[in-house]
Amino acid sequence: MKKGRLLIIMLILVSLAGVGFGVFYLYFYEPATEPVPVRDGINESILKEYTTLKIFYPAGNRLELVEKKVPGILSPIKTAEILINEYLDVSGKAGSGILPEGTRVDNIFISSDGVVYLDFNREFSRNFQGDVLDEYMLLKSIFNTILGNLDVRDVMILINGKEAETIGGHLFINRPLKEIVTQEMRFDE
Amino acid sequence: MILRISAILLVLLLFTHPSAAEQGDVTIRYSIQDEMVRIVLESDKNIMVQKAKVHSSYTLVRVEFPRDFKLSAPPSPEGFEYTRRGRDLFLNIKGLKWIKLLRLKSPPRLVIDAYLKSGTAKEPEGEKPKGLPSAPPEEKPVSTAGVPVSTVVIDPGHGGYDLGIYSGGVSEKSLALKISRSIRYKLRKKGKKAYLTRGDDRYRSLMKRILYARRKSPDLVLSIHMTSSNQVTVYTSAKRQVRGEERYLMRYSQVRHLDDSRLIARSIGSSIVQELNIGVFFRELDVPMLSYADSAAILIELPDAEFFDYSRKNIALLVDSIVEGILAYEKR
Repeated sequence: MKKGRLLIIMLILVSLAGVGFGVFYLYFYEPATEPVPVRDGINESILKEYTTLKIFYPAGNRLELVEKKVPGILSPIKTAEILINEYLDVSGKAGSGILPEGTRVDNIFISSDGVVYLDFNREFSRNFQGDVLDEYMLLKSIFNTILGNLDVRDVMILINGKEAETIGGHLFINRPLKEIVTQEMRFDE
Repeated sequence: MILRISAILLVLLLFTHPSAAEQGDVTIRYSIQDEMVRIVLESDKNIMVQKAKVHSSYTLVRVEFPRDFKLSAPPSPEGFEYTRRGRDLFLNIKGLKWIKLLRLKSPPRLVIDAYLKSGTAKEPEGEKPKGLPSAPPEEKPVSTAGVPVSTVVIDPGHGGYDLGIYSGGVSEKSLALKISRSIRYKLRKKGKKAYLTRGDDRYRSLMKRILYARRKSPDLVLSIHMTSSNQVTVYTSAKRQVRGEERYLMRYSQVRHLDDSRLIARSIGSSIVQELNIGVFFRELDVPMLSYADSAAILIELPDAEFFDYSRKNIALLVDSIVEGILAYEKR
């Protein structure tokens, strides 16, 4: 009887350890990352290679250009990721305040037929505060930033992973941006 | 007793194992038919099919699986490509028009019928798309100058959860509705037929507004919005060259009415300057509410409430000047 109890306790302990390991592996374990090399250790030739990103941001009825250099030669998807983060940063700080508050891009996809899909969060349309010109310039700045840096033909905007009709209630975004933003806007002011 | 406890613990251990709890297998199969690609995503787990979310946009179909999965797929054929990222499977289909979705059991599978735009599938050279006349007749711009504007559709921008611009304690949706109702009242008093795309504080999509306006066959579509500056801006659609079958597309309906739209825009602009003495700017841009309209169409952006006093008197003056502008166009 005593041996039996001991066996049960042992089994319970082993099983609990197994369950604990499973929970730790699933929810808490993070694989060790490669140590980040210090600047002194980097080959100088690598530092000479960089990518120049052209970022367009809306400023009234025109677009302003900012150039940023990032180290390394990047793949298209990596370029797009860095590019969109830089765009959000620059437009948020230097733009005319039309970038909706809390805007984030959750996913980027480049299709084989040269269309970049930018999946924005819900705040992008929910917090938009602007008129026709603001909406047009916002879309145009996104389009020009992408087309100015990547060898693609068009940009499609998704909101929360889905196609949306409009951001601010003036222009359609349920089709690629090229047709909307490459039209010439005529002013008589 | 010992055996029973051991069995329970064994099952418990098995379920906490990551591969057993998380993964499913997904196999892609496809067949290409005339203007349709059938994509079958087969899985060993029913939940992978039943709980998968599918979104399509332009040429991209995104399948969001509830769990991580192991993918087995043949090489991508021409015109159709798939990429996997995390739990998402992206299907890039050239010339995609729309999709039909079926969730089937035994074996669990998701069937996506992707219909392609006509012309995506290779057609014999020289053959023209069906349903269109071989040589579309040349159409001259329609001019309604001198003809009474008897029916007007007024479109108060935004509405419902879409406030539009909120400034100086005024929301764009409320201001647009108030002004639009007053314009409708004034026009009806002048013997015109006037309709609103929304009569109360509700959200209506752009496409619903466009279709409503087209159904009424108006002589003028008047969209009312607010700008974030201190002047009035009047938009008309941009001039564009349409070729061949393009002229039948709804989005280019405005091309035939552009001259009239410009004349009405100028007439209303002058009237506002005279009545209120504020700056009026004119811009040309293909805003859908205008470019889809099969009649003269203009979009008026009223000044930001921070720069303009929307007192009862000023609202009355604004409304009068817009109505007077329409009447002045008629008398040209």
